[in-house]
Amino acid sequence: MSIVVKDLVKYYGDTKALNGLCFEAQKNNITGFLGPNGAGKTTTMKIISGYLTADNGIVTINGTNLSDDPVNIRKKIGYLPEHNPLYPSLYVPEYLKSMGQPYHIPQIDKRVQLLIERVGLSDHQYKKIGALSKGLKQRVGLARTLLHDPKVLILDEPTTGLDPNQLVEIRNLIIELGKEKTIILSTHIMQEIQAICQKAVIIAKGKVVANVNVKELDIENHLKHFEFEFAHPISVKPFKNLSEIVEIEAVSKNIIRIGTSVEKAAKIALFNVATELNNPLLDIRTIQTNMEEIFQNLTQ
Amino acid sequence: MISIFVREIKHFFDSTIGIMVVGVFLLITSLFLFVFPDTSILLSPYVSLDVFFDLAPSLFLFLIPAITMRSIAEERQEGTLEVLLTQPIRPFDVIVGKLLASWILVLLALVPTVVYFITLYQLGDPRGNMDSGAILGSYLGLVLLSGAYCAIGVFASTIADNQIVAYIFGTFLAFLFFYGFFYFSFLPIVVGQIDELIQMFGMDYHYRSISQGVIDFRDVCYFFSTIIFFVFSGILMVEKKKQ
Repeated sequence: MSIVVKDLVKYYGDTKALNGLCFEAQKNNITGFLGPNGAGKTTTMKIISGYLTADNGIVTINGTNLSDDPVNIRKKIGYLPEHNPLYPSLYVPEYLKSMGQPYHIPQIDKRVQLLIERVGLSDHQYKKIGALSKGLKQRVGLARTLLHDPKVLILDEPTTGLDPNQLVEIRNLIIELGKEKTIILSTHIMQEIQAICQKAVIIAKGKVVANVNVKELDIENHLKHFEFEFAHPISVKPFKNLSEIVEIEAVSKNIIRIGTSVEKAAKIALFNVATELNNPLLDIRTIQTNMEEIFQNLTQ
Repeated sequence: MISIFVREIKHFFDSTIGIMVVGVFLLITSLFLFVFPDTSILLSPYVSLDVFFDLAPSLFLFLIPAITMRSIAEERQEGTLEVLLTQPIRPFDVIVGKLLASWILVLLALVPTVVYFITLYQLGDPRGNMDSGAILGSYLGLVLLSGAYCAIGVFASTIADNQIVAYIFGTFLAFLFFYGFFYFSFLPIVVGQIDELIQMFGMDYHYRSISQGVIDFRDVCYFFSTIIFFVFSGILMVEKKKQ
């Protein structure tokens, strides 16, 4: 199921929280939603989940306008809000069963047990939710969003506050779910986008400022970028045949930028060529070409 | 709606709220009916439950908003309302589910009071010499009145983000509807002109009418209209606060 968000506008009083926000999340893909605090991530997610109504613009899920059939579309969406609100006085299976009732799930007891196992809560199911740790509560929240096997998952900062082990477990679970569901997740952690998302939508001041394919950023290849500054003008030609260098471009007369996956070997090779050309190397600078750099440039 | 209703009922009995409300209501009414000499039915020359039916609306005025104050305010405060409203249910289901759960709890508090009726029945001379019709009417009035109080309380909870504010506002509204209109009708400006009309807006007028043992459709209709009015006002508030 694909999600198309078009020209979304939302006001809180006089404040414009969303200012014509547009993006698309493709079927069976994980789309990362990135932006500074107050950029409008949560507002957008609340609108897609059907909790808030936009002042303008449309959200279509698999071609159906959200406002045309809100109750039926909500059956296809699993929404995990930022603070993962739960009922602390209920036991885990009791909570899941109760939250599953509006979806009329057949054999709900079986489904609840299946999800408890899937999110790794089997050993904790006889505890009240209030007695669980934050990571376990997060799993309860995730299990709740998966109860009705929704085709769309909206996860608002699902890994916030988790310890490193829990983080890896929840990320792996999301990656697994992303194979069969359309997922939109928001996060502040750049590495998370790099680790689990296919697409990154960066927003600032209620607008999309970048819509990038994570793979295209060479992050998957772990390419590192460096700038080499020489004493005299230099051409990129002598370096093009070096097998250690994947990308090369001239930044200015004396500076060239390279991309490599073998940092040490590339530096040695480049240094040797510079020696052969009798053009002393003055400086080597590491260039950030990851999400963090893009994020900072676009959202400042 | 059923899931919300069941969860609410369970919450009442898991927490101390349910037991507290039922316990306090029964304790206070028992003290008035059997212990305090001025109102004790054991010392009264007449076989009547008037003391109980006069006292109950005032007690409910304080107890019912205590039951309903958390209904929506807490859900909103904790964020669980956001989850509920992204499920395939309507705000109507949430409000009515909460209202019915609170109402059932109040009715459960009324069930043990049948003992008062049985006691009186035994005390009559000859046995059973009492106005059973008026008592049944009064019970019906109390059931309808408690439903209206619950609807007011749930509505107050949709307005306030804080439970204490919801309690105070709920008590104020219930007071206004039960006593307020009655006392307003004594204002010199309305006496002799629209005083009865103003009284008719109040619950006290219709409660007294039903308590006489004659079930008038207009009185029943008044209570149900009040419930429906506050249910839909509550829905509007939930929708408005979503904006």
